[in-house]
Amino acid sequence: MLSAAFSFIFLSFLPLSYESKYTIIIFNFLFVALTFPLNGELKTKSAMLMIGNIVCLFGNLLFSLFFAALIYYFGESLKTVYVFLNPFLNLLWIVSLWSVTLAALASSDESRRRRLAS
Amino acid sequence: MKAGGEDLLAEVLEAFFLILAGLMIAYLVRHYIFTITVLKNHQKPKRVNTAENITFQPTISVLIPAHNEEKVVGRTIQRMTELTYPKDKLQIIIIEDASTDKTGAIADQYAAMHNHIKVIHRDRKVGGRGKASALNAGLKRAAGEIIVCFDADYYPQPDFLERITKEFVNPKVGVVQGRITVLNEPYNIVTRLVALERIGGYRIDQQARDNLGLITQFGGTAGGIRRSLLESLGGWNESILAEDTDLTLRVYLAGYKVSYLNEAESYEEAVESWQAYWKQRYRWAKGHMQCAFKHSFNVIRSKNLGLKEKIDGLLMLNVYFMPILALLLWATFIPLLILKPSPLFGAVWALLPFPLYSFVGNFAPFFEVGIGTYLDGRTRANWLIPLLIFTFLYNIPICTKAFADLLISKILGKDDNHWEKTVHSGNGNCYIGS
Repeated sequence: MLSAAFSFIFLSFLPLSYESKYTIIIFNFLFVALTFPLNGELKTKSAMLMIGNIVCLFGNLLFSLFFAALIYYFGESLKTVYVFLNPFLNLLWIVSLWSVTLAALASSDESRRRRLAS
Repeated sequence: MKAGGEDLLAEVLEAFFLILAGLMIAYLVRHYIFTITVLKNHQKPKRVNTAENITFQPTISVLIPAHNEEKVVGRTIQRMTELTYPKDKLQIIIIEDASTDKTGAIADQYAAMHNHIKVIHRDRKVGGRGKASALNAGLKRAAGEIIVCFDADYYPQPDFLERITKEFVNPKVGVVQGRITVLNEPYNIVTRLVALERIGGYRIDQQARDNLGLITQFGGTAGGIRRSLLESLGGWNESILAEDTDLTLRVYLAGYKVSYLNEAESYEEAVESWQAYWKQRYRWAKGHMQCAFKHSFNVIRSKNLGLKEKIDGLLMLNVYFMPILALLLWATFIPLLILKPSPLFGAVWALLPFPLYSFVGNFAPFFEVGIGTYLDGRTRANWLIPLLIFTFLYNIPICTKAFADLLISKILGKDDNHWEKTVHSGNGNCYIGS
């Protein structure tokens, strides 16, 4: 919850759409709540969390600028497409990043166990 | 006048959207709670019953229904001979259900060599009517206090029976469900994705339900039930395609519970093609929907269920409607966005694609599957989680067709409960060490 609150405060200063802001909040909430209790180094988890936020901020900024240009040339109706597509596209990187993080944590946990066993 | 009509349409769409979104979010929250629960509990000491520490040893009858299973049934019966449970307390019954291949002959060979193995041959006049019918035939011959079911492609741990039987010491436990793991996981992408589904479904979903005292599901196989309870309930329901879900609900409504034991594991051979996946999931979806129609009201009225069990029971019963509702939800959002744009919808909408990475059956979202694979110590399986989107999208037409067919059969008053059997290729045999 704390991560979501921090995200919200931080994001309120950025020129992003509501959809992007909500997505980042959900990402931070899920990531912190479900990844941080797992075994593994805090710096790995923090690094992945930071990567996620950077990907999200730049990705959403680029995507919104791209759509701003499209809306300028082709009309307001494209705004609907943007709002509709935005969470779906965000979800693709969220799930991928989540999967990579879990794989990394599971691998390091496995190596640690092997080291202890030997 | 036109503006008034648009306003009304927007109001209706808004109400519809918010109801559907509320349902989706309820499922997401439920599975988030499940995941957090298992994460919190996984380091607690496990209650493992092994052959060494067991004292309670009831007589057991293992039922194995088999219809045209020549490629896998030998492996399963061989495994039954390797079970460590005392043979004088164990009865294995193979129900050869109107097979046209060598299933019966293979079973007979084993029966000739082992006294505790019996074979029931059902000809085409009485057999071939589905799993529930075959199991009921087996139940008539069963002598054990506990009835354990395995499908013909299953391969349990040698001490599987010891592990599950100790749970029956608790008189409130009517059924014990073990964990199901995919044997042929490396075979292709379909089996790999099914394996992920199974991990989410058993490692997290079933475990969390058990921990939280909710409705743990009996999967119809790799589990045991008290014979006295089963007989008092009238055996398996042959008029429903999901006889396992039906039995689960009847057990709970009768005041008993289903216990889940993650440490009692059995391998299964998963479907290997998208076509086989369709057939299996169509049967599950239709059967589950039949159960939803039959039991939803009973769950609400039941005096044997607490509030949280009722809520969970209703969510579990109606889970196969979710892909259809997700489709409706997405279809509702576009006109709503045009007619009545609002930041609230944006917030709700940002959350709604998350069910896209869910699979039908347990509706486990991607984070649930991910935590399941992590807790299993799987290092690379997580890489495939993004692909679960395809299974969910595939389940939308499957569930829609199942619902449409069920509605048509209800309207026409003809229940078509044809059991579309899952074909097992025996490709999983190579993953079993000699």
